[in-house]
Amino acid sequence: MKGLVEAGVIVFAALLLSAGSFFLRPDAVPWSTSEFEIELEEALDLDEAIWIDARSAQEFEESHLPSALLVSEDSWEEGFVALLDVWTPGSPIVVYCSTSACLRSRQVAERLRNELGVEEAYSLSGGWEALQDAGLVGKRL
Amino acid sequence: MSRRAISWVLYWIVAGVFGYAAILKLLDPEAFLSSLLTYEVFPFVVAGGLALFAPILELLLAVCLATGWLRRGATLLTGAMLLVFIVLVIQGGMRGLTLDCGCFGSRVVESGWEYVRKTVENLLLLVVLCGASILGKTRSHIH
Repeated sequence: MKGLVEAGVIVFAALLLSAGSFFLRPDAVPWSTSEFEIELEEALDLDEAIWIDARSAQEFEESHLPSALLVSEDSWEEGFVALLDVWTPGSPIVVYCSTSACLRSRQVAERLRNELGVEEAYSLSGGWEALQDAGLVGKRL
Repeated sequence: MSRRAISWVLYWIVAGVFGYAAILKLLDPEAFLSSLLTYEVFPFVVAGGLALFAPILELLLAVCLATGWLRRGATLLTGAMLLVFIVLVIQGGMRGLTLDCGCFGSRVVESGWEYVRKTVENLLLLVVLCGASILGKTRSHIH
């Protein structure tokens, strides 16, 4: 019984500290993925979109869209330079990662908006899984 | 070395692991959120709340286990958390998910062997925790 009361005290303290941390830094974690997110159908309708793979280098080696560039947080500088070679102002950019649960594409899209000033940098809803389900893997988009 | 001393050392081992894991998560809560989402169990908002709450809880548990303050409660909660981690990893393995376990920064768990290794690691930690608790209790009964 004593153990349960003590456990309750610890959980309560953790809840209080978490609430405090939330009020101090409400944007420490994103609370929605909808910002910058684009559905596959809408992405396919974009004119001359540049596709970016934000998964790991290993996943990229295994398979990726033929036209996609690898630009992830781990390989940011190399990927960013390669992107600058092909990107022209006004071209939309679609970033995908593994699944709908993956946040890397959102992070890369947000960074491209901030650092490259691309207004149309999107995170693909459903990521690589959505491309696979649509039978688009291996096709040049 | 007395049983009590061994119990303290075992508690410090568990506290060290939990404390280290908590600090990494607190330094990059968004990466931890990303890891949580790979389990495909939690809705986005719940995972966001957990990304803030779980590292703080882990850090408090580490402090309690290491200092002996509220240790019974901390032992119960730590054991419960380890069981939850084990269940989460096993369900991920059974569903064929590629997990980023989020344990100590980014660590992808994909193959069958990696799932087994992660589960065994958590089980070992649970055994160490049980050992610490039993040795600590045995000593107090002798007194």
